[in-house]
Amino acid sequence: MGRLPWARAGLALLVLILVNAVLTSHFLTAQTLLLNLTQVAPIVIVAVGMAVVVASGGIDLSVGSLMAIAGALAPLTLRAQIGPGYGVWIVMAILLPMAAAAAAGMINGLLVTRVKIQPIVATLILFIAGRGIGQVMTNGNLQVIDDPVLRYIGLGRPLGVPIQVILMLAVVVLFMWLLRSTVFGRQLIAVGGNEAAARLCGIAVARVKTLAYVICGALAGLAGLIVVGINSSSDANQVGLNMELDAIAAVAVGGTSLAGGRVSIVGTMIGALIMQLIRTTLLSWGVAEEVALVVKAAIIVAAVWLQHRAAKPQVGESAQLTSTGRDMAALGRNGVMIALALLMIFGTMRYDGFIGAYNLQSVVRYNSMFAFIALGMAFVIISGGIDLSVGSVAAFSSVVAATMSQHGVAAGVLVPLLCAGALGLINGLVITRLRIAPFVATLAMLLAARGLALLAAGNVSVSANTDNGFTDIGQGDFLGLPIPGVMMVVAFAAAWVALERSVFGRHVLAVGGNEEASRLLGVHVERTQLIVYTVSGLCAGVAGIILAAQFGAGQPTEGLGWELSAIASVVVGGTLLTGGLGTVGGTLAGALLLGLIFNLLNFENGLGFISLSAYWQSVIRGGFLLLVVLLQRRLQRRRI
Amino acid sequence: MDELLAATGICKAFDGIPALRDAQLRVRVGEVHGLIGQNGAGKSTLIKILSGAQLADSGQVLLSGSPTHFANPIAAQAAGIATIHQEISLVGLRSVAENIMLGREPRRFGFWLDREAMSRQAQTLLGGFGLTVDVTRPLAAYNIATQQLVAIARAVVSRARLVIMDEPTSSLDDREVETLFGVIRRLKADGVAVVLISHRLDELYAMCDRVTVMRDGSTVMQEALSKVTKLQLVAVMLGRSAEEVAQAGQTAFTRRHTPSAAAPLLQAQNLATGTRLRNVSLQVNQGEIVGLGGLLGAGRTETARALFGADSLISGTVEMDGIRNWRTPREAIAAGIGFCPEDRKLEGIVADLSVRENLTLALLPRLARMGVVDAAEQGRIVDKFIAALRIKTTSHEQPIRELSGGNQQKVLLARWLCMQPRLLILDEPTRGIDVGAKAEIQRLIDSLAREGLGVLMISSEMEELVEGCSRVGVLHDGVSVALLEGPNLTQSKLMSAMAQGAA
Repeated sequence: MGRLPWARAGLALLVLILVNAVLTSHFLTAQTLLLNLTQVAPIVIVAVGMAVVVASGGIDLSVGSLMAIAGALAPLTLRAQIGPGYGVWIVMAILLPMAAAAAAGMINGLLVTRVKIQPIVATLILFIAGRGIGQVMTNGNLQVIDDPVLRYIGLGRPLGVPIQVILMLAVVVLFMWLLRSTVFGRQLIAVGGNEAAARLCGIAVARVKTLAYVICGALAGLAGLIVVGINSSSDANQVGLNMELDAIAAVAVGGTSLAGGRVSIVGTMIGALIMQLIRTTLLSWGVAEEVALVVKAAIIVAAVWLQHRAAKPQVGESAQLTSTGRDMAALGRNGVMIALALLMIFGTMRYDGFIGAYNLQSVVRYNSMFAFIALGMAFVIISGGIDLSVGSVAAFSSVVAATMSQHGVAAGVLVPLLCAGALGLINGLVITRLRIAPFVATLAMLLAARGLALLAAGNVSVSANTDNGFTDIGQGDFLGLPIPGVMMVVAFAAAWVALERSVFGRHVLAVGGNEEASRLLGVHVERTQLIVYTVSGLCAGVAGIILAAQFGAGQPTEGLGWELSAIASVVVGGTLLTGGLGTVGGTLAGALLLGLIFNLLNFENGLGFISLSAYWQSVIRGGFLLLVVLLQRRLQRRRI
Repeated sequence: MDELLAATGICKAFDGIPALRDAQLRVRVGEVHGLIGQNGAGKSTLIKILSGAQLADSGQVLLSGSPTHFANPIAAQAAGIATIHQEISLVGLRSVAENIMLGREPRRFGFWLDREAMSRQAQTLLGGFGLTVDVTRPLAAYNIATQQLVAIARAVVSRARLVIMDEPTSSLDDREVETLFGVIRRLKADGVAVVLISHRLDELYAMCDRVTVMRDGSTVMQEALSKVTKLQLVAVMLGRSAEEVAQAGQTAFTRRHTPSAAAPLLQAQNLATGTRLRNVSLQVNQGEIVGLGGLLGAGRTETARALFGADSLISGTVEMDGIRNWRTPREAIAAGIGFCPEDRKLEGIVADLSVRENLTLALLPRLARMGVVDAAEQGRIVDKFIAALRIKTTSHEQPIRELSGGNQQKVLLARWLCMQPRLLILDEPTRGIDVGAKAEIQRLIDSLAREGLGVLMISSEMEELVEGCSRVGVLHDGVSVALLEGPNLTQSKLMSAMAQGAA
C-alpha cells in the first residue's frame, strides 16, 4: 500500500463503480451519477467537519442536532423580516444559521477543552438538547420554504451541476488545503497525535481543539441549509437524523484513524461515496434497505480492522485520579440521590396526584426498559468500554419477542434473550479478538441490529400474541406492582450483588481502572470484557421484550438514541465514563431521574399555567446532563 | 544446590532491534539473587519474559527442572513466579485489599466474594510488614512505598516460589528500604527465591547471595557476590577493564569547569508546585551544563516542567535575561527555552507524523505567513538539521516512529535547536538509547554548551552528571538539598546527597 491513507478506500470505490457500470443498468448516466452525488453531498460536508474533530482526537455526536437547529433557523429568520430590505434578510437567513451552529460547536469545544469533559459526553449534551431546541423554535411544525434563494441552495444547478455538489467539492478542496498547508492544520494533527507533545511545543492546544469543533459546527450548519433547501421544507424532527453515524462511518471507512492524529479529507469523501454507492447498488439489485444496513456495518468493521491500528493506550482520568476515588463515586451517587429526592419533594408539593400510587407505578412501568438498558451500559462503561448498539438490539429483540410470543410465553422470552445475548457476544468478540475500539465495533452493531430488526419485521411493527399472557410482562401487575418494575428491581439487586459482592464485579472494576495492570495481575481481561458486552446485550434484550409486551407489538424502528440516554443515565448516576468507578444504585437513580423529569413536565402542562411542549423535554434533559457533568467535574477537581 | 529457575539462551527483538541476545538467569531455591546492568542492558525485558508479560523469540526456561513456557502473566503466576514491576502496575482506584487479592479472591460457592476474609487476610499480611493501613481505602490514597509493599504482599499471598523485584528501592527512603529488606529476609527464610534488580551496589552486597550481570542484552557474568569486588562488577557492567574504570570516565562528555566570567542565564528561586515541588532553587549560566540529580520521585522532572511553564507554580520566581515568571510553554519558548521530556513516546514525538513535521513542530508559527506554512523554507531547515546532527532517516518524510531511539532524540533536539534557544532543559536525554548514539548525543550536548548554550540536564546516570556537568543540584523530596561543584562533584558524594537528603 502506498503512502496515501485513502488508497485502499479509493480502490474499493473504483471497484464499486466498475461493478455497477457492468451490472447496474443506467448506472453510468449523468442523471444517476448526479443523483448519487446530490444525496451524498450533505454527508460529505458534515463528514469533513467530523474528520477535523476526529483528527484533533475528539468526536462530535451533535452534528445532526446542529443541522436541525440551522434548518429551523433559516426560515424563521426570513419570517422575522422587518425593517431593511429583502437582500439583507436573505444574507442573514444564510449566515445566522451557520453562525448559530458554529456557536454551538464552540460550546462543544469549550466543554471539551475548558471544562475537560470527554468529547463523547460533551457533545452528547447538544445531541440531546439541540434537536429539542430546533423543535421548540418551530413548535415541531414542518415549515415550508418558498424563498427562492434558500431553495436554490438545495435545488440550484449552475452550469447543469447541482449546487450542493459544487459546495461539497469546494469544502473538500478548502479543507485539504487548510489541513495540509496552514499552521492550524498541522497543529491540529499534532494535537490529535500527541497532545502532551503538542503542548510542550508551545501549541495552544485548547484553542486548536475548540476551533475544530467550531468548524465542525459551521459545516453542520451549512449541511442543514442544504438539506432544507433540497426538501423545500424544514422539519426539525427529521433534518440530520442519524447524521453523526453516517459522518463517523464515512470518516472511518475513508482511512482516518478514530484515535486521532491522522486525517484524510479525500478519504472521507471517498468513504461517504462508498457507503452511498453500496446503498444504491444494493437497492438497485432489489436488496432491501434493511440488509444494506447490515452490509454497511460489516464494511465499517472491516475498514477499521484493515487499518490495523491497535488502539492507543488511554491516558485517561484514572491516571490523574490520585486519591479518594471511592469518596468521589459516593459523592456522585449522593448527588443524584439528592436531586431525585428534591424532584420528588418538588413534585409532591406542586402537583396533586404526583405522589399517588398510580403515577409512581406508571413512571416505573414506562421507565423500566430504559433502566435495563442503562444497567447493561453501566457494566460496559465501568469496564472501560462503551456500547452504542443497545437501542437497536432492543428493537431487534422486541421484534423477535413479538414474533415468538405466538409460540408461547417461554419462546417469547427465551428466544429474544438468546438473540440479544448473541449480538452482545459478537460485540465482545469483535472488541477483544479483532481489537477494534468499542466505539466503532458497537457503532457497527447499531447499524447491523437495526437492519436485522427491520428485516425480521418486514419493515412494519409485528403484533404480539395478546391472549397467552405475554403482554402481561409489560402491562400486568404482580402483587399489585407493575411487572416490569418488579423485574427491574430484581435485576438491579442481582447486578448490585454481581458488582459489589462477586469476584466478577471486582474484575470488571479492575479492568476499567487499569486494563494493563489487571492483565499483569492475572485477571482474565478478555473474558471479563466478553461477559460484560454479553450482559449489555442481554439487558437490551430484556428491554426489547418489555417494549413488545407493553405495546403488544414488536417495534423495529424504536430505540433511536436510547444508547445516548442510557449513557446519560449512567453518567448522571456518578459512574466515571473512563471506567473503573461506578455503582448500580447510582445508575438506577440516574435512569429514574431522567424519567421523572418527563413526568414532571406532564404535570406542569396539566396545571395549565404554561404550555411546555414535549420538545422541551429533550432540551431540559440536555441542560440537566450538562449541570450534572459540570458538578461532577467540580467535585473531582476539589478532591484531587 | 537445587536450581529453581534456569532460563537459558533467551532472545528477543523489538521491530528487528535485538533487546536480548542469549540472556541467561539461574536462580537457586531460597537465595536472593542480584541482577544488574546499565539502562538498556535488557534486565527489564528478561523479567517481562519470565513474568509472562512478553514472549521470548527463542530460548528455554526450566522451572524446577521441567521446561515451562509462559503464554501470559496468569500462567507465570500459576507456576509460582510473582513479579513486582518497576512502574507499579496496580489499580489505583481499587482498595488496597482488592489489589492484594485480585485474581485470587477468597470465594464462597465459587463466585461470592468473601469481603471480610479478603480484608482480614490483607490486613494481617501488611501488619506483618509493620504497616498500618486501612485496606478498604483506595490504593492511590497511599504513597509509593506503601504501594510497593502492597505489590510485594501480592507475591506473598500467591505463595510464589520466586519473587522478582525490578528496582523496588529506587523511590524509597532508608527506613522504607529497611522494611522492604526485612520482608525479603522473611521470604528467604521461608524458602522463597528472590531476584533483586537494583542500581545500588551497596544494597546488593547487603542482601544478595549471587549476582548476574547483563550487558547489551547478554548475560556476561554469574558469580557469588563474595567473590567479586564492586570495582570488578562495575567494570563487567560497562565492558571495560577495572583499571580503565578506576581512571577514565565512562561518557563522551569532556570534563568541564564553570566558565568563570559567564553571565547568569536562568535563575529560579524557591519554586513550589501544588504537587511534588516544595522548595527548589537553581541557576544556569551561559555555556554551562548544570545537572539535576535525585532519586525517583525527588522532583527532578517536576522541576523541569515547572521551569518550562508546563506545570504551574504556586510560589517562587523564574527569570531569564529580564524576562520573568512565564506561565505556559509558549511563553517559555518565547523567552528562549527548549525542553526535551523524559518520555519520548508519551510527550516528545508525534509518532505518526514525519521527521519534517516533528522537527518543525515548535517552529511552525515562525515559518508561516498569514497562517500558511512556507513549505520551501521548512524543507531547507529540516535538511540542514538532518545533515548537521547526522540524523539517520530515509527521507524527511519518513514517519518518526520508524527511527531508532537515538535518532528520534536527535530530531527532538533539532526541534529546539532550530528555534535558536538560549537554554535547553533535557530530561534524561540518553535514556533508552544504544551506546553509540548515546556518546554521539553526549558529544552534541557538550559542543552546544561550548557554543554558549545553557543546559539543564536531568540524568539518572551518575557518570553523566559527574562527568558532564560543572555543577549538580540535588533534590530530595521536592527540596534542593545540595549543590555539588568542583572537587565535591564525585559519584560517592552525589550518591550520598541523593540518598540521605544532605551533602
